Amino acid sequence: MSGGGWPVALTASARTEVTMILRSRMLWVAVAPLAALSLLLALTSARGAGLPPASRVADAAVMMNLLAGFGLTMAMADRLRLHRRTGLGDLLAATPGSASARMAGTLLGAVTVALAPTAAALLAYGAVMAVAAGSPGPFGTALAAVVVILIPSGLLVTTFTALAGLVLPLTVARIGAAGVWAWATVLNPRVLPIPTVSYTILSPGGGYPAVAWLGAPRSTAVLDGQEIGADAAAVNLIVVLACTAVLLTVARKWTERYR
Amino acid sequence: MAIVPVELWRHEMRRCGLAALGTPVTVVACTALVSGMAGGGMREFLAVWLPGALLPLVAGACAVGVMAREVMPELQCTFATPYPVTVRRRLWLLVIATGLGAGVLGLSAAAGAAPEPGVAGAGVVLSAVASAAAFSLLLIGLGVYAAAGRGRPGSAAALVMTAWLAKPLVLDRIPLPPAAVAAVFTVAGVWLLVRGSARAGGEAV
Repeated sequence: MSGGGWPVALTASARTEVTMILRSRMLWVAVAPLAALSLLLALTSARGAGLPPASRVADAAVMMNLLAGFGLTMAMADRLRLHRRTGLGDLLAATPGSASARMAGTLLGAVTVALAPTAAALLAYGAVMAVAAGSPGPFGTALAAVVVILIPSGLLVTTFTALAGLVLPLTVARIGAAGVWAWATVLNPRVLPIPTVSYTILSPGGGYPAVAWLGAPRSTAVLDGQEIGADAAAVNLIVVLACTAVLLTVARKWTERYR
Repeated sequence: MAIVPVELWRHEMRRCGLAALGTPVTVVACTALVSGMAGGGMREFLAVWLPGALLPLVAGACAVGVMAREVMPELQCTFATPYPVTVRRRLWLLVIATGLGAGVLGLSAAAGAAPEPGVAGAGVVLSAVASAAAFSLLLIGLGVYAAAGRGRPGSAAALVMTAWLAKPLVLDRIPLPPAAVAAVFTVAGVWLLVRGSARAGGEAV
């Protein structure tokens, strides 16, 4: 691996993580029912009855992103802590790849596997809507939603949860991360007497890209009826990715300091 | 049945961990405190619905945490006390901690529930507590069963989350008698808890 730099460490870590998770199969068993639940809700929802098919897919993508995020808060708390078992941290520190690339690869591999069932459910819903509409548009919307909603939000919530798992007891980390995810995506001052980032440009709920780029309705559940432009959605996406990078840096610093 | 010494219960409490035994009460109490800051319809949501919804999720996640904290099950299997018995002792402590959470929920509901026409205040409180307690027992059982044997804690916790989400999003849309649902949840929860603890001992892995 000498001379390969960070891409080698990133891809090798991601590949190892994917292989390990696929071998254990337990994560699939845990996230597949959540994806099935998302698909069931999307297929039986009466909310988008009068909407164009592509808008319904974008609306469903926000809902699926919300549920997948809750699943990730539970499943991902121990991803970075696993690498701190006795002796393993020192062993990994002796490898030539950078710690940041290794940790990013670990989380990337875990997210890839964990989001695969939800992404498949969203694509299946997009395919159903495309067949019903007789146009490939809804499937394209589903594909775009995986890229601009599911993956960025999944990376952020996974990094946050894994960092919480490093600094807190795992049980508290899981419950706390689920609470923070709810605070950042669905809770708002109408139901909780504290400020939240839900429906704002800081929220990782996926409402901004869904409304601005994919044609989701500006309903209460998606974006609280706000008017937003494509620029705001781009800023929202950048904020989500930047927060992920910052959390990853904090996780690396924490790991180095408390190895 | 042999009486378990107090010192052994203390040891099992330490093995469960403060996070697992303290979180159910803490979460419900925090929600109840926040409800004190709220007014109008929001107050009832925060005093009754939200703590009643959160208690089962927290209980299920804590059950996974209790199972995952045992780092030497092989060593446990060499002891005179069968490992499933030890697991059940620890889960009893979690059930008691969850019961305390349900008690706090009852107090919160009694203080914050809005009166409903034709329903006594005590009926509203009892219904909220019984429903939350039964669902908590089900998710504790599910968490234990999924985390036992070769199960991974993260996956088990995700399964608990899926079951928790399925209740408000799917089951609550179907008109079913709440008492019957609570009874089924209780029976299923106890069965899963017993089977899960047996799996932890290697009986049915």
